[in-house]
Amino acid sequence: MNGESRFLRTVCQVTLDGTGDRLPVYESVLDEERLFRFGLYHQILPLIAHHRDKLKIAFPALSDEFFEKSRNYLVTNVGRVMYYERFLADLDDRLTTEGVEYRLFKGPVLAYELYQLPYLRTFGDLDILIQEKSLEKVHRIITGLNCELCDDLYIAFPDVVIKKYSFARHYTSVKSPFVAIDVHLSLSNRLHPFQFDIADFWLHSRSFRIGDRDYQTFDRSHQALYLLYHAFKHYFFKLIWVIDCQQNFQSPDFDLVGFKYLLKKYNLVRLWEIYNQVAADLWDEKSQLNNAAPRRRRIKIIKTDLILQGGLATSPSRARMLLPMLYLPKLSQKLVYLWRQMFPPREVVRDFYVSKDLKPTWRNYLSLRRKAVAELFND
Amino acid sequence: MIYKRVEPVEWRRFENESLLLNLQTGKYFRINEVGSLIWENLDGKNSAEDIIQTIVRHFDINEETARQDYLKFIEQLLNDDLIIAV
Repeated sequence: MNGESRFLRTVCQVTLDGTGDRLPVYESVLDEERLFRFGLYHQILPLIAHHRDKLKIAFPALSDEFFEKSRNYLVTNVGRVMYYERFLADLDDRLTTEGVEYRLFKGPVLAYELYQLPYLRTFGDLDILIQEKSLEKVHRIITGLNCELCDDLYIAFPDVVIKKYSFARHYTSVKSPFVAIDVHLSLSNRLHPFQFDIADFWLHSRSFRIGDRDYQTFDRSHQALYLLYHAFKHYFFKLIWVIDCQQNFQSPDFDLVGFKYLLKKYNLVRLWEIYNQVAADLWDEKSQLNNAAPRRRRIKIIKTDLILQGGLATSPSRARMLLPMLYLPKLSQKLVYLWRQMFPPREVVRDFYVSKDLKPTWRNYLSLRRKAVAELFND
Repeated sequence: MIYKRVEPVEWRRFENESLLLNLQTGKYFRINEVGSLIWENLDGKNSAEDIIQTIVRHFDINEETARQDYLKFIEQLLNDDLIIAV
């Protein structure tokens, strides 16, 4: 294990353990610039700043400048949290007035619930889940709050395609300070092999508090399931996502039995095993929870050190293909997923909307697929 | 002179400092412990003398130093349009 990996693991340990009393001292000099980049990538700079006293003892060669830089980042996070808190209250007022039901999830929920202080968990946007019937109303409300639909992906695709495949819509503020909102109609793209039962998530909700306001989010078990899926759906991993999962599992009102039922219901047991392997590697601890997972052989392709270094040792497109192949439990699911990745429906091929001269003919479609497959094996 | 904080500014204390955020411009200001104490007392009711005495008591420093800190900080806040005179 190199020095940077050791440092990142230690940040995990002090965050989750809270005491950090028995930290071994690592005397070697670390590449601070590289370490800062890792901190930024894994979204743990505020945690580094917050636990700096313990980390300074464990890594005495690290300079004060390194910790000061992390602290400066934490300060910007405080500002971001303050602004988002206000913006969220305005958004909630308008959605409530217009009778729009929604669920807040991801970033702000985790920041306020799972961390000692909300600004220790960086979040870059607000994620809300709405019902399809509210889409136009929500669009009007958000644009009324000085935000605009900004991603050309959602602008380029016709509404009928967006609705059919339940893409999230991404909005950002048109003036400073920067705010981003993702409006979701579902929790995964309909082309993805995991299809959550949205009604199940709407039904299993609970309220939680930010400041003097109550918001609705998913119950603990559903939140845990979504976090697990989210942490591993991408071809890259961020340490903060794995820490989120563990923080959620450690929360006193977490229902392990309910969660395990959901794992089976959604066929995500394999993902839970991967998580437990990574968690055991990261914080060297066989918690009661980790022991509760079924014991299987180690999954060799999942290497925790590669997660710390920022991804798998393969190209993003190949990893995006391979990772679900690893955790999808049934052969039929693997085949469906592979087929969908190789041959998505013509109507969701982005090139047909953004390239003016490219007609959506079968000939052009097959040509684009040939190119995509070649890229997969060449990069 | 009595001052009060302007409306679109929110603040949060964390560890030994505070962050002031102008919600209209998105511009934020970091202030130290002394500044935080002064800021929290700028409620449109406390006079300069009240606040200076609070600083003296809280930080166990002499009145002259507290007065200088107070005046310097008030000048900065006025320059950045974060407070107004009542």
